[in-house]
Amino acid sequence: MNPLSKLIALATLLMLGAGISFAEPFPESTEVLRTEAAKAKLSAASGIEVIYAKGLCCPSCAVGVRKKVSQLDFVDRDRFNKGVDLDPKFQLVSIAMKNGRSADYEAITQAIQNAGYDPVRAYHLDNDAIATRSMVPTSVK
Amino acid sequence: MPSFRPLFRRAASFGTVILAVWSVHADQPIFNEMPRWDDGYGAQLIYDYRHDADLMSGGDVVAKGFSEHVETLHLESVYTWDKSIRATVKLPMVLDARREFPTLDGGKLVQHDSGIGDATVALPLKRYFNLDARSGSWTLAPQVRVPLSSQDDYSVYDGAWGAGIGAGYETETYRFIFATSVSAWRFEGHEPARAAANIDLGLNFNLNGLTGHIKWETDFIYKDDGYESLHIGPKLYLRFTDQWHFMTMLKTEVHTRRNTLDHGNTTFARIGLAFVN
Repeated sequence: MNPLSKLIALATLLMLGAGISFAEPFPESTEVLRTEAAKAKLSAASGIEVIYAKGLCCPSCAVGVRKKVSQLDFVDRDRFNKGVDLDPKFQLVSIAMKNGRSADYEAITQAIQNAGYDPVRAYHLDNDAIATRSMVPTSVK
Repeated sequence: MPSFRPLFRRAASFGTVILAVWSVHADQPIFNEMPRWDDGYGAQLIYDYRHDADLMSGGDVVAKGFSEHVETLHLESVYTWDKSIRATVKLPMVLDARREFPTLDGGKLVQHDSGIGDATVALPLKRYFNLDARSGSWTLAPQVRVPLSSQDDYSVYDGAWGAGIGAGYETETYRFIFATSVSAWRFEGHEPARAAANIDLGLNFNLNGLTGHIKWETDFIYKDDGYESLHIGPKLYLRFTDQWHFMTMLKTEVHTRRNTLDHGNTTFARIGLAFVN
């Protein structure tokens, strides 16, 4: 191995090591953690929908979710980033709703599927308790 | 080095038999990442600098310091019909290429090349899967190389039709990335067939909203004239916005074998900017 190869190998190992060392201790998302995160989002903002999209781990690949969902006519594009906040840590999609509009879950399901992910459930707050609604299309259950 | 004189003579006389090696790179736009969504499209511009330090034969350096350097600009684009099928086009432009050979009288022969290279058209077929906190895909990518380059004593691109097939697997969690792929190419004319394999390991990061990843990439190329190359190095990818993305990488050759007289002990760097929507 020539000196440059050694330097590159050393630099990469240092960077990988640093990344691992400074990374926040984080078990891969469980349903308990995801539900807590969804409850926090719903408590912090009104007029939003929070959806669990299976597989949404990569913030770059997931930008298609924002592209597709933000085109829905009930989405308030002035909130979040074009009306959609992506949380790849918990695989959650938060959607800002226009005033007085309700969510069309079929349209959201289709938009998220067209972006390459599988919507599983929507979370709601019901008297401070979390409730869910299934979003899995009948055809793929 | 009297035993290498016949090789030098052949090199000086038949420069076109010595061909560049990274004229077909396996990565697909956009930066092997996007677009995953229906009706997605994008384009990227990659500046590529390659420096071969020495002239080699087999695993031996036969003329130290007789180098080759190639600067190339790659214009690449992609369109995704739906998440399972996309089309990509890659068009390279050699900005400047220069290589050196020793001459029999002890001097140095310098050759130059520039101009448009050979295009690569691919039809990557993807099968995505979504698991709990993990996602990934399987890929099968038939490819065709379209000869567009002109031919003279020294041509970085070979100006020959080629057909290739690639297969890959990648998976990703919130933190980690793993990807591996293999590919094989056959070309018309004298260019040897080649096979390649690579393994990438990486970490995702999020720095106050600036997301990206750093990967360690390992690539192996084999050609059926006995050529072998193993190169390794880091790659940094950044997402500036949903539309604008950046990539840079640096790799160096850690195992080299050239069965014809050719340049080796290679280092190359790439920097790229991409737009996707």
